[in-house]
Amino acid sequence: MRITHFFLILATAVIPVFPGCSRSASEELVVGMELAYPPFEMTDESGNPVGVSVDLARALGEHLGREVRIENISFVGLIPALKTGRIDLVISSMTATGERAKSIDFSDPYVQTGLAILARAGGGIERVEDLNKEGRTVSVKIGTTGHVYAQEQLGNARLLVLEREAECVLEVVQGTADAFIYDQLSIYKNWIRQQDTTKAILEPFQKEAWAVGLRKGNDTLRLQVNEFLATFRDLGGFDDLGNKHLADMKKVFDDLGYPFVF
Amino acid sequence: MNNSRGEGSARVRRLLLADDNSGEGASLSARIFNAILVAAGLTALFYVAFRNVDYHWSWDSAWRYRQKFLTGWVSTILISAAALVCSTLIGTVAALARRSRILLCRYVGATYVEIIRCTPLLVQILIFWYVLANAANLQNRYVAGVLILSAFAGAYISEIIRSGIESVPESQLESARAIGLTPPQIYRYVIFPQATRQMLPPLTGQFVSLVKDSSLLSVIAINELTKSAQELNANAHTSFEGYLPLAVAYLTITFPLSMWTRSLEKKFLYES
Amino acid sequence: MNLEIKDLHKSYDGVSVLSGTALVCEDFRCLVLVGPSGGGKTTLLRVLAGLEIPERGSVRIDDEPLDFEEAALRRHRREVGTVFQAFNLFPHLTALANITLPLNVVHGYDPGQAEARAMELLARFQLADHAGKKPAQLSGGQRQRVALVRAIAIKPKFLLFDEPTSALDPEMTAEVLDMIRDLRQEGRDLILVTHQLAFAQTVADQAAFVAEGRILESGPTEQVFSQGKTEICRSFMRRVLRFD
Repeated sequence: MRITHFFLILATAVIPVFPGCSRSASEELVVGMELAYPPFEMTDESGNPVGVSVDLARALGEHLGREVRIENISFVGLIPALKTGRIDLVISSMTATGERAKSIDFSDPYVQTGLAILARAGGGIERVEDLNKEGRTVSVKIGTTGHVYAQEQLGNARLLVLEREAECVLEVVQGTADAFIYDQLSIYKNWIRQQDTTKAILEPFQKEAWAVGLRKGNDTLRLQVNEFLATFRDLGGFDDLGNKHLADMKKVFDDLGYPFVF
Repeated sequence: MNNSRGEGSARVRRLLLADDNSGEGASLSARIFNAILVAAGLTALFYVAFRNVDYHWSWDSAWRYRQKFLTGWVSTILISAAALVCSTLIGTVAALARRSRILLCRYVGATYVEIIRCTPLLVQILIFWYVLANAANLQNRYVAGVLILSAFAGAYISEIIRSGIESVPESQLESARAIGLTPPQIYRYVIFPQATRQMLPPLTGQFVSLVKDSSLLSVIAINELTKSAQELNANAHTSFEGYLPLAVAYLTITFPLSMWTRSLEKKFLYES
Repeated sequence: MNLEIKDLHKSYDGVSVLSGTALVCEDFRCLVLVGPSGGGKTTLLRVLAGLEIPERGSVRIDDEPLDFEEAALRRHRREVGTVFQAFNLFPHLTALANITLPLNVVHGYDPGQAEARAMELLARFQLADHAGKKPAQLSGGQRQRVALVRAIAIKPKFLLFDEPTSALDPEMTAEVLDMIRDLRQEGRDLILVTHQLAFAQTVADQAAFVAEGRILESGPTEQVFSQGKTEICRSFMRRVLRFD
């Protein structure tokens, strides 16, 4: 008798009680981004999210009349987080690519940029094709378009797939990689800090556009976001963002003759 | 009478309970029955958990990138094997150094063990590769990876070896001295055979840990199993389709290792 | 054999265990050391076995001085067969391997010779059936007898036994004492520490009474046991021999 009682209790304890992942119909809009990409996604001294994408997200929230919550997720984990419903939107300077579009939907693009190269000084790299040779080593950040490009186009080179931008740069600075492939803005910023050991080839060898990421089939929200982006641009919102976060960069790019991101 | 109920509950008891607490003493049918029970419970747990997550599985996406995954798996086996051997050597040297009469040996050994044991492996890997290896002009990150992993595990192994050596009773050493054995002979014929028995269980644990810790080498872009799974996830935009096979892959390495050392332990038992 | 001990001093952690031990014993076959616990008997035996280095004093065995330097002591230990109260054998080796280990490793026998010698001795003392067993599978008495065989297998100059039966029950004690008697009858020289005084009286020709770190009495066994010159010795003998 006692044994059967024990069994029953064990059975009921083992039946898992998992709360569902659905959010209540509160109007909270959860936006995912990797807060490791200044000045677009970063944190202030107290650890609060700040940056271009943060401001953009909050402006979107205002426009839609919804509370915005920022979730800090590593770049490569953003799409999975979107798919499981942990976040509603990805606003993380993510390039809209055909490959990604198989998994998620994208809004209209809001930034024009491209892939550039941070090369080892004296390494003899002039163009991206120079990297596609035996014996060349290229560092990339995992999950980025640089990573995809290197995998598809630089088959002869050895690929170092790292998790953080800082490590990718370090490999180039120390000479254990010939180049780092990443977006134009970041390449420029890193070159400024490491002018002795690196060289920047800023002409983008692949043009890219950033867009907001949404779950597949979430058309209502997508149309709302597109509407917001158009309105925001007309109202000069992007110019304001540019002046607030990217003033010095804007000047440099104007001098160099590159079109500025917005 | 009440016999049938008594008999019935006795049968249930035999099916659910072993004879004693020793880990043996259960019939084959009882063991199979309970093993199935646990497996079923585990499956049920995972099933319900995943069903509630509302996740869209894309196994086909993940399958496309399987080549990398397999190379990573082989890499991990090779790296772990190399580190296992090196770390045992380092650990033995460190253990003997800490027992040495030369004070410098003792202090160097103790410093090494304390620093390694009191800092995280991740930090050790980063500092080793980006600072020490760079200064020493060591270009091959795989060699560097095996070295730091060996140094890491070696510290823990040295403590296991040291306590194994010290577990041999003083009277044994006396006896060995009395028959005229030299210190090296005492280590070889008396201490190590007896110490090994003491050391095997914690050593197994350490070896299994080593295999799992090798996953941290992914941070310096060593292409082992975890990095391969991360890249698979990045390319296929998945998470579980990369991580679940990752867990199973590690099990295929650690489980046989565990079984092998368990059989070694049995060989060294001399009480029976 | 002859034994000469002069002014031996040994202390542990500041506690003096041997304080001026001295003894002259000539032409004996078996010397027994008796006395109260903590008197210094075991320490004295350990010095004679080459396992302890005294702070002061000298020892001469068969007119050869004992050199208290580690390498010399190791050579000395190879020529002396020592058996302690317990834990003599290595638990991870069989009885046979316990005996062949010193023969092979220390005395340079080749494996065939070593095994032959070990088996011969085991057979002589009715232990042949136990050759392949590990110490855990042997009784206390069997273990001590195997230890005795190990001690004699190396053809030692003399034997040192430190309370070999203290950890055994009466039946096993008898077993071991019989073997010691046999060894005596074979003509081996022997220095023995024991509480088995009745037994000691039958095997030992010389005795020494050790107390308070010194040898207070020495001489023929009978004399020390029944006609002790000091009161300590006499009262000790009275107390202990009462139950023998």
